Parts: sequence; C-alpha cells; structure tokens
Amino acid sequence: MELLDNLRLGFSVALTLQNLSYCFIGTLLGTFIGMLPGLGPAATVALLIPLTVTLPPVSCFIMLAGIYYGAQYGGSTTAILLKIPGETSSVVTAIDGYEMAKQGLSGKALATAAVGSFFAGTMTVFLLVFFSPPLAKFALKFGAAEYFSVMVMGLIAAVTLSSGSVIKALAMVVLGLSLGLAGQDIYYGEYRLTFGLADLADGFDFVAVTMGVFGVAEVIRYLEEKSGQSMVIEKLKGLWLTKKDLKQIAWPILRGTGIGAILGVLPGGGAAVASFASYSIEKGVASDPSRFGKGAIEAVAGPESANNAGAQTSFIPMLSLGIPANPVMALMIAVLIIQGITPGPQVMIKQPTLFWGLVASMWIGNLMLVILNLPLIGLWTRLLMVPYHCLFPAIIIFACIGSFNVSNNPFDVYMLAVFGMIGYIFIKLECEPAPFLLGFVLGPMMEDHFRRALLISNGNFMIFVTRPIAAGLLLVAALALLAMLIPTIRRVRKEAFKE
Amino acid sequence: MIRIRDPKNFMAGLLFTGLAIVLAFNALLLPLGTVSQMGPGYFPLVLAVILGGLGLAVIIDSLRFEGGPLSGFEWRGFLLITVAIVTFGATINRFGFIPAVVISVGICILASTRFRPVTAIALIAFLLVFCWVVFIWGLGLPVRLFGR
Repeated sequence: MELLDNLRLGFSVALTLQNLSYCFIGTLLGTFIGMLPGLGPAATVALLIPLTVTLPPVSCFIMLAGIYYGAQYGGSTTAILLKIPGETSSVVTAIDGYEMAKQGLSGKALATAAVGSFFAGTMTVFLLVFFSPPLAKFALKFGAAEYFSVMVMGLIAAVTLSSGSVIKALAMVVLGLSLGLAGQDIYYGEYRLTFGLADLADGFDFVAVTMGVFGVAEVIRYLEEKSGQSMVIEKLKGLWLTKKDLKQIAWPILRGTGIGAILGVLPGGGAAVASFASYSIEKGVASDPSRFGKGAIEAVAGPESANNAGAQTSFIPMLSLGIPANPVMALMIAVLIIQGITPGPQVMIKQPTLFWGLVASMWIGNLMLVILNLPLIGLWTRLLMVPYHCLFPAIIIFACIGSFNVSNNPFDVYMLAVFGMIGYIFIKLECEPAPFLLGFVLGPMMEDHFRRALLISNGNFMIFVTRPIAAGLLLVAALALLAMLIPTIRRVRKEAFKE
Repeated sequence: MIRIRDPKNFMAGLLFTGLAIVLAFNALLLPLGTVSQMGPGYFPLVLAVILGGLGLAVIIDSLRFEGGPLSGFEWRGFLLITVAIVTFGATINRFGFIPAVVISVGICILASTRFRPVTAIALIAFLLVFCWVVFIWGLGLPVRLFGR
C-alpha cells in the first residue's frame, strides 16, 4: 500500500541519528525559549530560524517542528507555574493550571498537560497523514486564480477568527502584503520600496520583522510595568497522575483533541480559539462547573489537548495548500522559500522525503517532549526563578545576534530595531501583529498569482467568477466578512474573546 | 467640534491612511502597466488604495464609537531598546562581538529601573559568555571577537 511505503520512507528519514538529534535539540531549545515569558512560539521560531536554514530541508523542518512543539509546551509550563501564558492559547491553562499549582498540584497539572498534548499530537499525526495527500491532489488542479483565491480566503479567515477589530485586522493584512512586496519585482526587476538602499534589494528580512514585531515590541511593553512585580512561582510537587485523575481527564482530552483538530486547520489562531472552545465545553459538560477557575483538572486537560491538536493540524493547509493557518506556519512557508522549495501542493510530490520525514518526526517529537520534559521540569522551574528583568536583555541580545546571523549584515539588525519600534506602536494602538505577518509572508506569492491569473484571462476579472473553485473560495471569504457585520455575530465574537 | 471618541483607533486610522499615501506615492513612481500585463506598480497601488479606504473607515469609526483612552507610552524603554539594538548593529563589525554584546546589554539594562550595579555586571558577564558559547563556539558565527 502506498501509504505504508510512504510512512516507511518517512520513518527511515526521521530515525537517522542526525535527524533524531535535530529533533531533540529543536524540542529542547523550543521548550527552553518558549518558557521565557514574552517570547511566544512565533518569536521563538523566528529567533531559531537562522540556526536551521543552513541545514538540508528535511533536517531543517524536523528541527523547526520540534522547536514549535517545544515552544507550545514551554508556554504551558509558565502558564501553570507562573500564571503567565506563553501565548494566547495558554491563557486558559494559566487560569486553572495556576490554581492547581497553588494547591500544591503543580505536578499533576504539568503531567496532565504533557499527557494531553502527547495524545493529541499522536492522533493528529494520523489526520495529517490521511488528509494532506488527498487535499494536495485536489489542489494540484489549482491554477493561478485558485491559488490567489485560496490565499484571499485564508487571510480573511485569519482576520475573522482573530480577536479585535476586523477592520483594523484587515488593514494590518493589507499593510503586511504591501511591505512584503518590498524588494525587486520578479517580473520586471524594478526596485520597490527600497528607498534606494542596496540592502533592501531583497525586501525586509522576515526574521528581523518577526522578531521585531513579536519579540522586541513585547519586551518594550513589558518595561511599562514599573511596579516591583515579583513572580510567585509555585513549588513543584508530585508528577504523578492517579487512576482517578486519568479517568477524569480521559474525556476532556478526547474532546479537546477533536476540537483542536478541526479548528487548527482553519486559518486564524486555530490553536487559541480551540483552547477557549475546549474550556467552555468542558465547563458546560462538567458535573460541577463551579470547580472551574479554582483548579479543575479538566480545565487543563481539554484546552492543552486542543492546543496541541490545533498546532499540529495547522500544518495541513501549510503542507498541502501552501497557506498559513497562523504566524508560525507563515514562518515555515518563508523557510520553504529560502530553502528553494515553492510552497503549495507540489511540495508533497516533489519533496516526498520532506513531507513524510516531517510527519514521522512529529510523532517522534511528541514522544520526546513527554520523555524529555517531565523529568527536566525541575530544571526548567529553577530557570524561571530568575527574575524577568534579567531575562529581557537576553531576549534582545539573542534577537540582535539572530538577525545579524542571517546574512552577516548589520542592516538586518537596524531593521530589527525599526520593526521593534513599529511593533510597539502597533501594540499601543491595539493593532494585531499576526495578520500583518501573514500578509507579509504571502504578499509576493499573492501578487504573482494575481498577475498570472489576469495574464491568462487577458485582463478579464471575471476569471475569478467563472472558475468554480476560485469563485467558491472567494464567496466563502466574502460571506465570512459579511458575517462579521451582523450585530449578533459581532456580539458573540466579542464575548468569546473577552473570556 | 468633532469629538474623538476612540483615540487609539483614531491614531491607528491615521497611521494606516498615512502609510497608504506613502505607499501609493511609491507605487505611482513605477510603471503601472495594463490589467492584463500588470506593471510593478499595479498591485502595490491597489493595496495602497484598499489600505487608505480601511484607514478612513477606522477613523470614521473612532469618531462614532467609544473606546478606551491611550495608555502611557513607554518612552524610556522604547528609545533605549532601539538604541541598544542599533548600537549592536553599528558596533559588531567595527569593534567586534564582545564590545557589541557588552555595550548593547548594558544599554538594555539602563532601560529597566530595577537593576543594581552588581546584578548588572553579573548579567553582562553571564550573557557574554553564554552568547559566545551558543553562537560562536556552538554555531560558528563568523565574526571577530575584537576589532574589524
């Protein structure tokens, strides 16, 4: 059977000593840096990208995937032990997980998070294996018009599913698209937005942009708090789960995995939305909802599984269609481009080792996280005892060296500074950075498809209407936008994000 | 006198509209081409126009709907972190890795009011060693420790 052959190929690649060590280093680094408050998975991945791009494609992505999962798990750990969510999807974990820690049950909370995430990770790898190939095959029929439409739909979906003002998020997408176009025009070689600088001939370096907008900006925001904010770290106790615990968390984990798997595929903060949804659902079906908010183990199990499931299924649209479901996937797409691989359905056909090796290593990575993190939690907690005001200079200097490392060019460091400033202004004005990054990465590709579609149709815009798939995708995008205007839906959305 | 009900959104809208104008201006300098044979300026111009439209919509919304006030702008952190990063870029090739790290971390430390001299020096030393281990020894970053 073709599937078994592919899996065998995947595992043979993933189980080489080299790739196993890259997977290990990735998960280790990801967990370590993901634990630093203020550096979410996107900033973590961006920071570590310069380490990976020199590697061959398969190893590079294996390491990046490991970093991603590690960062997710690191974020959960700080959420439970410090009540500081590493990123949006850990917010709910921070609520009940921290309460559990206060009651001396931190070990249970962490173990629950680990088990839930591992289960979700394993299950969703199957989904990846079963759904990506057919999806990619379907997408092979895509022409330029379809690619353009799918990107439009992806971006609009990302906007509608993210929190905050829809119009501002749309503006951020368009701004991202505009800045993403900086550099040389592929067709004509004209320089755009380079302001006459040779260093900008390839556009703004996306590592500098991402680290600036996500990392540096957050550091500046942190510096706003002048009060002597001492982090209360709860002591780590008892990393065991009793049979009773396991029975309690079994269903939440299953439900969470399901929710996360579905929502993770949808562009726009799938993992975060999934964890919130899981929390609501668990609270709804619980026999004693009053426990929620006070340390209910289900409130950690469900959202953590949803979180991890969502993070993994977000690979599906990236690998099979080339559209990013969240900023981390956008970064992965950017790395594909750097590695000389055109994102899209052909990736699976032209680079089967990459796809199947990645799939196999996802499962291995999940396993590594469970084995690695549970024993090492003690070590991590000691790290967290370092007061944050000592950590932020580390973040800045890593970002500086990281940006410099990309092409050994100080200019990229200056860009880091510029986008750090821009990012902070975004934060102050409540403009979402995630849609900006998605637009930034997709900009050049969208333009390319748009141009080609109109070249083929000889300037006739009707091509987007007459071709059924393209028309369908654009219709979905339009409906999603219109739905945002309906007052009831606006209210529901506001409430959902207020939680 | 029109009351600005939502200062944050008002400024955001201004930012978007302003940037849209700059982007449109840049796009118009380039050949636009025709719809079927788009020039380098075409798509950027379309995007700039859409951005401008959205910016105006945000401004209008800010005049109609209430929003929270602008919270304080962290000028000290903003300026010092920027200076720290820029200094790193300026120093690394001219004076080498060690001076660049030491000076930049030092400036970062100034951005926070919570450092005592002993902790500051300890942190600089630690980060210097740590970065050396990770980036130069571990990853072989091709850069001089001292000097150009």
